[in-house]
Amino acid sequence: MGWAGYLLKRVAFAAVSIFAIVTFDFFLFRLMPGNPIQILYRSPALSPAQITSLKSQFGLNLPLYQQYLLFIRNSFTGNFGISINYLQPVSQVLFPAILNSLVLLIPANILAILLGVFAGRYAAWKRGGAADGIITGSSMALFSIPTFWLGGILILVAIFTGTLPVSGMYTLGAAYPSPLARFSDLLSHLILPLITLTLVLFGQYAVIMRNSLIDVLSEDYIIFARSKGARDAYVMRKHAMPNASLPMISIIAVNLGNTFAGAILTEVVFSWPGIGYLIYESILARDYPVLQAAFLIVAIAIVAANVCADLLYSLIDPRVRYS
Amino acid sequence: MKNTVVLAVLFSAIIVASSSVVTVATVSGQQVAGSSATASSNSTVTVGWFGTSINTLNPYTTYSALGRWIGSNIYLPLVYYDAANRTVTPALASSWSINFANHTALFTINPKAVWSDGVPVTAQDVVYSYKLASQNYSVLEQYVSPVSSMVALNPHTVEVTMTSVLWTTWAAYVAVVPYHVWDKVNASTYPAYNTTGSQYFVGDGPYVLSKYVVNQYTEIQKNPRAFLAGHMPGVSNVIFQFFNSESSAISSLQAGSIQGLTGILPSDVSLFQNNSKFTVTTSPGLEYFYLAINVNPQGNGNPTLRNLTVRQAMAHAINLTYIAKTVYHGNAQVLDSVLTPTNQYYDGNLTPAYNYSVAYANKLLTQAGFQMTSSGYRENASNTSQKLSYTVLVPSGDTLEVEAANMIAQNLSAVGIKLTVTAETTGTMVATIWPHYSQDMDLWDWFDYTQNSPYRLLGMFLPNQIAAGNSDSGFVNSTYQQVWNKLENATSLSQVTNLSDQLQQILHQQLPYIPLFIPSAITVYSSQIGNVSAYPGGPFGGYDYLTFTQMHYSTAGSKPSSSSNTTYYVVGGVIAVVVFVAAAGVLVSRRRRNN
Repeated sequence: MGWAGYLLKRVAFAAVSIFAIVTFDFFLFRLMPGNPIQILYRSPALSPAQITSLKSQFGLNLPLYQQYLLFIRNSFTGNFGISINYLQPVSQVLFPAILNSLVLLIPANILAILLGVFAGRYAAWKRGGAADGIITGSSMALFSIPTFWLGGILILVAIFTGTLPVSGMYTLGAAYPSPLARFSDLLSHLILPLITLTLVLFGQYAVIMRNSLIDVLSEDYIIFARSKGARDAYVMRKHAMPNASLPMISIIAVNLGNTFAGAILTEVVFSWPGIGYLIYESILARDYPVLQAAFLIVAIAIVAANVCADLLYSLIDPRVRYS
Repeated sequence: MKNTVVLAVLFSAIIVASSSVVTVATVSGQQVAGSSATASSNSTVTVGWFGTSINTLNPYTTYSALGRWIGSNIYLPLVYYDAANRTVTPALASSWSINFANHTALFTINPKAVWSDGVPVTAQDVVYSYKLASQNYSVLEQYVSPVSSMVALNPHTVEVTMTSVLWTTWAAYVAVVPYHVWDKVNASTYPAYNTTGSQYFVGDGPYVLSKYVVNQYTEIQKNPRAFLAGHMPGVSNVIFQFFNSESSAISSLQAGSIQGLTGILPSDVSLFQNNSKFTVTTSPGLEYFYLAINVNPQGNGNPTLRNLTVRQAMAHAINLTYIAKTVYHGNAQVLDSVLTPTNQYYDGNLTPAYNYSVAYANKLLTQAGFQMTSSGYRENASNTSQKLSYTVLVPSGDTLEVEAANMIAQNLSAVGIKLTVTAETTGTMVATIWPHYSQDMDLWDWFDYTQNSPYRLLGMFLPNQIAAGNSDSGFVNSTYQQVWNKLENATSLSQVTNLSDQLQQILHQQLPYIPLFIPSAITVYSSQIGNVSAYPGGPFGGYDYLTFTQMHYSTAGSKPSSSSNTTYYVVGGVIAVVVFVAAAGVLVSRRRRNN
């Protein structure tokens, strides 16, 4: 199979996956007990006629298959409907939240990958030493620590020292003399959630990098390279790292998609108004249109990241294409 | 090594570039609706809000307390009802006359009344607003149902014909909106009534909307054309910041990001006591907790709960005083009616008194034929399949409710009633209760925010509230319905009081609900805020329309600022790190090359 054929196959498989996920999600949300009108509008002031009217305004009175067909048809045109909770087009609610999430997720992922790769590499190189113990131990600890606990500790420190804001993206009510001041304000609000998310992600990258590299360093070709007199740095860079990076590509690709959903706890702890926070609120309110659109975006992100990983794999290791 | 260094520099550049691109896009692309007025920082008060945030600022479609509260600062009703003093005071109407015999009312609009855009408020605005409030989509429809007609006699006078004498219910709760602005909105489509519409930026209250950012905050600023004496803005800007939990709101209060918060848990009060930076106050609460018992004749719960004696025994077996003292640290009052004590129509003389008595509860159950078994629980001696074993649903999000339910289970256990506490999401509770009434009991809450009316909460025990998904007890009682019908056609306020008392008495005796307790609204606010009222529900609880007109705020040392040294250090630090990494990379690269 040639490159184009392989690419086509992966993209087709991705499209089918997204369609299946979206269909599954559509029915899954409706299987959740309770309907949004009864949850949101629980009030003795509402008559049965009003409840019926509210349901029909959001199409909740239609048979399930009709709701599904409408959702699929509208999704293709980018129309995600009206949020039941916010009474606004879903796109107006969702896209600002995605943008806010990206502000947090992009630097957190890059920092975690960089720190994880370098720490893992160093630990593998110093295997059995004090550095290895410290890096591996701290990585395992960070990987295991609940996000809300880590976030809570950082919040306590911030309150105690009175240095950094603990919630939101901006200082509300502040007058910004310049765009730089606004940018600075955003950065100061970003620090705590960024540290939390980076540390949470860092642990697994460091551990996987270390273990993968240790496996590779025991391979015959590494011993052969050393016996030829090649310098350690050269062996590491030319022979060990490229081969040890393959599992990292998988885990990074999967994580890039997952962090969209995985950032929920960080966003909730720091009241960061991203997609995680929005999903959390929408689940409580059973806001089907927002949930459907949000999970469609998350599904696309995860599947696209996996396709990218597959393609990268096939570039790095040509055997994958033909297997 | 050279490649590694280059890679490091490249990654650093990517971090900065990607963060900058996205953050700059966010900085410039925030969804900020409305005017571009910059927040005045010298008297801006930021209030925290957790729980249900805003769905819309449309006073006719919002279901959230916060939406109603913000709306009450933007749009005036015809009159105000002061729940603290139980008085009716002028708002948009400067005077009124009520003819109870003819069921008519005349309202004269304040001649000084003007919208924030300079257009005078007229009778046409009032008629138009009541028309909107009476639409099927309106959450105020039942409030305005007693208004059979409303006519603008002239630009300043409105004549109302009504079916009920209880006129303050609608006159105090229906906001009047500007016809000349709202009429331009396409009212035929529901989405037109969202919160980003320009129609929300014109009001006649002490404040007007200035910003709304979904899921983040809402800001109101003082209306330069506010006209109502005694209700002028106390601070220039008010920001309502949304939090998803009490703990994150408390963190922000401690950090100084917000200046006020109502709804503090009793266990968290100690965080602020003996701290001169904060003031802690308690106000009468509006949220009360109850134990709803499934008495629906067609319900699928345990049938023994339809036995009145069993319900009476339960009422006697629960030690409410102890639970209130333990769970709420003494910050809760035991309740005996479905109306709160601050409600104008609350009846404090209901009989019989369900005093805590394990012995009497045991006696009642034995008399009803439920004998104690070897398992320690009771069952019907003549029908052993009828066991006093129940499940109570509790919202899992409220830890105090769960704790209270567990203590009730302990109390009931002492009289041979087994109660299993099941904490569920409200969605699961709703699905269990309606439409099949598959639950035995639920411990839940209501907010009694229509303090001048018995209709809202007493109306919940009507059969039509079963289909609406509001009546969790499924109570059906013909006598109750008959008294209710009389209440709707009452010809005097004293008759309303009398009939409301009768309805409360029926509920008290039939026990579809065992009212539990009403926690005080605990508020913590910055000591720089002064003149904060003790209105029922708390100053920042979402019910006090006077909060921001009465308060004053000393801004010394509290000015919200984005340009603190910390933030500049942060930016400087990031830039320094990038420069350092780049420089180190170049140096190492050169050294390697030279080697």
